[in-house]
Order: sequence, then C-alpha cells, then structure tokens
Amino acid sequence: MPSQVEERTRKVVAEVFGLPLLAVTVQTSHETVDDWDSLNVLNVLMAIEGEFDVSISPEEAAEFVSVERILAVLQGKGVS
Amino acid sequence: MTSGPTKPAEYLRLAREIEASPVEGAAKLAVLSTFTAELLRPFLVVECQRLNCPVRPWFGPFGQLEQQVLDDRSPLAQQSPDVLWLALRLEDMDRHLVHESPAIGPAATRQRLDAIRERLVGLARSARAKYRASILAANLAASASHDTNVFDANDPDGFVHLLAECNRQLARDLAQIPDAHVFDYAGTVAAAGAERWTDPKLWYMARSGCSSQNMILLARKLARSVRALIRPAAKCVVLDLDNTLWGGVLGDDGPEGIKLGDDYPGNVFKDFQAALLGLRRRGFLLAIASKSDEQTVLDMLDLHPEMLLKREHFACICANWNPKPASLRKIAETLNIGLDSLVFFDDNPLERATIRAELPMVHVVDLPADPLGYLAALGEVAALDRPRLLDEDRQRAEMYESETLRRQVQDQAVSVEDFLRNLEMTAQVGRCDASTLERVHQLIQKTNQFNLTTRRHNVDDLRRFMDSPDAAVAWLRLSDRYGDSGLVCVGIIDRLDDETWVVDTLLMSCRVMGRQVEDAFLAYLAELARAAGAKRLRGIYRPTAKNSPVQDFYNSRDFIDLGGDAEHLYEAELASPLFAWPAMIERVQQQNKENVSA
Repeated sequence: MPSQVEERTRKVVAEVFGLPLLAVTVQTSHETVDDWDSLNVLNVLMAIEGEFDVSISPEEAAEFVSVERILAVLQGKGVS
Repeated sequence: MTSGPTKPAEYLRLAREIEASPVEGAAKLAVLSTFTAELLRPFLVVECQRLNCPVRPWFGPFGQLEQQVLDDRSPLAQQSPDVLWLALRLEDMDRHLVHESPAIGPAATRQRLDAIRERLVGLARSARAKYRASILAANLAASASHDTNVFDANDPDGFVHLLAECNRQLARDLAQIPDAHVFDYAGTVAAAGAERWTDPKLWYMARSGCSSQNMILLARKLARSVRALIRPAAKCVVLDLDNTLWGGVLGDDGPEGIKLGDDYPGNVFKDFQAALLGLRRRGFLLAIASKSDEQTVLDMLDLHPEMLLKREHFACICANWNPKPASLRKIAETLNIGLDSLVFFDDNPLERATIRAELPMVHVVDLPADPLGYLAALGEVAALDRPRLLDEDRQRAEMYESETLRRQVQDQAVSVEDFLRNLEMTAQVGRCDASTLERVHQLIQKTNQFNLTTRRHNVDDLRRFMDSPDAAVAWLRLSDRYGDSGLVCVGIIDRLDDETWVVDTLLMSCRVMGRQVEDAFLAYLAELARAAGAKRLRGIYRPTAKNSPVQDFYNSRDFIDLGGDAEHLYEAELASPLFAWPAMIERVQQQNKENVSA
C-alpha cells in the first residue's frame, strides 16, 4: 500500500514533467524521463518544497534523480 | 480577480495546458536577463493568461545582452518580439557595489551606478532602433545581502538614496525613448520584502533571481506591465453606491445614517473615495450605476459634507430601478465608449454575476466582502494600468464635464449651425513631429469607432511615414469656449502615383463627432496632398466590428465609389469644393508645440 507521501510525490513529478499520474512510479528517474534536466530538477525542488512545506538544501537537491531518492530525502526530513 | 494558483506544481501543470493549445495572436515576450529567468516561465504563462493576455515567452541565453540586441542574426532578432523585458540586476552588473559603497563614498558610488544605468539605457535605445517591440527595462533593487543597518536611510548620501536617484534618472532616460518603460522591479522587491526576496539556495545553485513564492509576485507584476503595453486600458469606472461608496443603504438609513466620515467605518469609505478621485485625475471617467432614487442620490452628492466625490466628478449618473446591465449599456452609450472600456465596482456578488453573465466584456472587480479590502482590490485592477499619462489623459475627465455643458448648449440651440457657432471652435493643424508622436501613436492604437482603416501602425511605421517625402502624418487640435479637447484627429496620406494620394489613416476621437471637425481635418489633408502635387485623393474604408459610424464617410461627401469588399475605395478631385475648410471652425496658427508629459 503506497503511502500518502508517495502519492503526492508522484503527483508532483507528474505535474512537473507533464506525465500521466499512472506513468510515474517509484522507479521513475532521470534515466526514464528525457526532460529530467538541471532546470527541471529545480522545478521539482520548488514543487516539492511547495507541496510539503519543507526546505530542501542544495545537497539534498543533488539527490533528486528519481522518485525513490526524493522519497528518501523526504523521509530523512521526517515527512511521512 | 480570483486569487489563482499558489503552488509551483500547479503553475507548471497549468502552464503546460496553456502552452499545449497556443492561442492565435498571443504576444511574444522576449526576456534578456543577467539571472536564470527561465524558471519564471510557467508563472508568467499562467499569470498573463489570467489577465486574458496570453504570451509566448522566449528567454535569451543567460547573461547575453548586447550580443543579442546588436547582432542582426541573434536568436532575439529572429524572434521579432512584441515586448522585450530587459532584466538586469544590480548585483549581477556590479557584484560588490552595495558592500563597497560605504568605503568608496558617494561620488564613486554614483559613478558606478551611472555606468549600469547607461548600459541599460543603451540597450533599450539599441533595441528600440532595431525591433518593433515595446521595451520594459527593470529598475534596480537593493538586495538584502548588503550590510543592513537601521540607520541606512539616515545618510542623505547613503546607498539607499543614491539608488533611488539612479532609478529616477532611469525613468527620465527611458521617457525619452518611444515606447520604452520602466518595469518596477525595485517596487516588486520592496513589496515582497528585500530580505525575503531571494532564496539563497536557488541563487547559489542556479542563479535564480528570487524564491519560488516571489516568482509568482514577479510574474504577476510583469504580466500587468505587459498587458498594459499591448492592451488598451479601461476608460471608465462604474460604481455602485450603497456599501460601495459609503456604508449602509441611503434609501433606508438616510444621509445622516449612512457611514462616511473620519471615524471607523466611515473612514474606510472616505479613503476609497479619495482613491477613486485620484483615478479620475489620472484620466479615468467615473460613473454611477445604482438601484436607487435619482433625486435622493443627487442630493447626497450635492449636500453630504463628507462626500469627496461630488456630482460634477461623474461623467454619467444612472440612479434608477432598471437592471444594472441596462445602466451599463446606457453609460457606455452616453459616453460614446465600448462596454469593454468599463470597470465595474459593486459590493453585491449577485449584481457582479449578472454583469459577468450578460456583459462578459466588462471588467468586473471581485470586491471582498469586507470594505477594508476595497482599496487593495482597486490596486489590483490590471485594466487600470497605463504606462504613461499624456496631458490629454489628465484633462479627459474635465473634457467630459465640458461635454455635459456642450450638450446643454445643444439643447438650447435652435439649429445645428447655431450650436456649432455658439461653441466658438478653434483648430490648429500640423505635421507630426517628435513632440506629437506619442499622442498620435496612442490615438492610432486605441481609436475604434471613428477610424476609417483601423491600421494600427507602430512607432517605427509612423517614423517611416514622417521621414518619407511621399507621405505625411498630420494632426488636428481642437479648442472651444468650454475647454481644450487636445489632439483629436490623426491622418496619414501617401503617394499612390503622380496624381493620386491615398488616405492611409483617418481617425478622430469620437467625443468631437458631429461638429464638422472631420471636414476641417479632411480639408487640411487635401491641402497637404495638393502641395505635394496631387490631383486627386483616394479614400479607403475598411469595415471592422466597431467602425460602422463612418461607413458612409466618403459616400456622404460625394467621393466617387470605386467599390471593393474588404476595403472600399473612393476618390475625389482635390479641386472639389468638398475639401473647403468649414466656416464654423476658426483655423489658428500653431502657437506652441504639443506639450507631452514625459
């Protein structure tokens, strides 16, 4: 059973990259999405900050290469 | 306007939807910046759409300014943008100036600020010379990163004041460049709070100019500025009375019972009235659409000591029991303006919904339920943004007042001739030059009804006509015993062949319709054509949705009808008496140049 955080994160990633929600899984990453470039990493970062009302550090942003890693960062910040 | 999206992800999604089905005629906005402006894209696309002014933004390669503006083969040159935003930030142009300013002193600080300003103005001037785009140049904001001291503003030669001086000079410089304007970046930063403007992480990682929340504010401000450059502003603010201009219901509470004065809650309404009076001084007309008894309303306007808005401030008063859409139609008709030129203020959501449904072209303001929010709501009406005021704008409200006096004369006059004679009209005519260019351009952009061809020439087109020996750009100014109507006619004629000149453009402000002013102006155009050696004048009527009032202009003046569909052509011999200057209008020599405020 996927958590609410996972659902919301997949939704954010879907909105940033313009993908159908069902096409975004935990495995979705910069290797599966062409547009996952440095500009869009910033868009993901801003979107995640806005969605969960958290502040992401540059070091954490460097981890934003897949939904799985984003979830790990959020978990590390106590978002659950 | 409703509050709109709040989260970056929503903006990204909405922007993608908007960009997926691009609109015909969306304005092209080019951005040259010293920071990563591209992150603004979704915010800009959405905010412009919300103002009903769709844009397609294009972002120049980061940090390239002169390269893009000066090179004819640059990507910018290939964009042919409608609006160009020059977004240079102080800290990118002179990275450490804010920190060094106390050490180097005011003279050296001033010099370095001047250098930035001159570079910015130089870019604006070069861009203006090369492209047809309107130009928005961001003024300079102090970032929060400088050593802030509570007494910074205490030093008259301190950085705060030097920067403000620099921005003032920037405004002066840009006013000298046609269609170049300040984008108030400094004001936007100040409104958001300089210390909260940037997100250090986004800046150091990606050179983003501001935090994601502030991108929304910046995009909103930019959207309004862009809209004001490419869409005409509204002309008239239509006001409800009860619970809009005062608290309570006049018909029930009586003039003594309503809330208006210097204490709460009356002071809220009094300040709102003061702001409306300010709008009137900036050239917007005021009108009333109220469901109430007319005499009660007039007594209130004439007699209540706390009313700042008096009867004479309103160009039209509709106090009756008709549905409001009928009153708005009446107001538009009386003032001879389009319904799309009206802004509607009413505290009653039902009335607002009725207007939205029946007259969707009217700008309906979403007033908050609490009158404490009225002023802020007024400040957010994008349709009331105008880049620059001309003298004609400042005088407009008075002109309509004298229009009411003129109508009274018309009622008393026994014949049209008597009426026109009693007006004691005088007209000046002349060729367009630098001092009249801005007003001429303004009329070309906004005149809809009395406009034979509705060709929206831009400033560059106009300059070409002005500089050509085979064309002339002409104007007419009108005065009468009730006041100065200002520059009201614009015409452009150019050579078709050795004997024929064509009236490319002929338009007139509709507030002087029916006074033979157009005949005086036609006489002047004929005079110019004759002086250039022409034998006949060709007229064009190009029908639009709004210019039916002039469809018989040439027919009724005995021009020969040459036919045509999209463009009707007419011709007349220049020797014809139809080109005589009308006797009712005295022609006076040009005394002083058109005074355009800069």
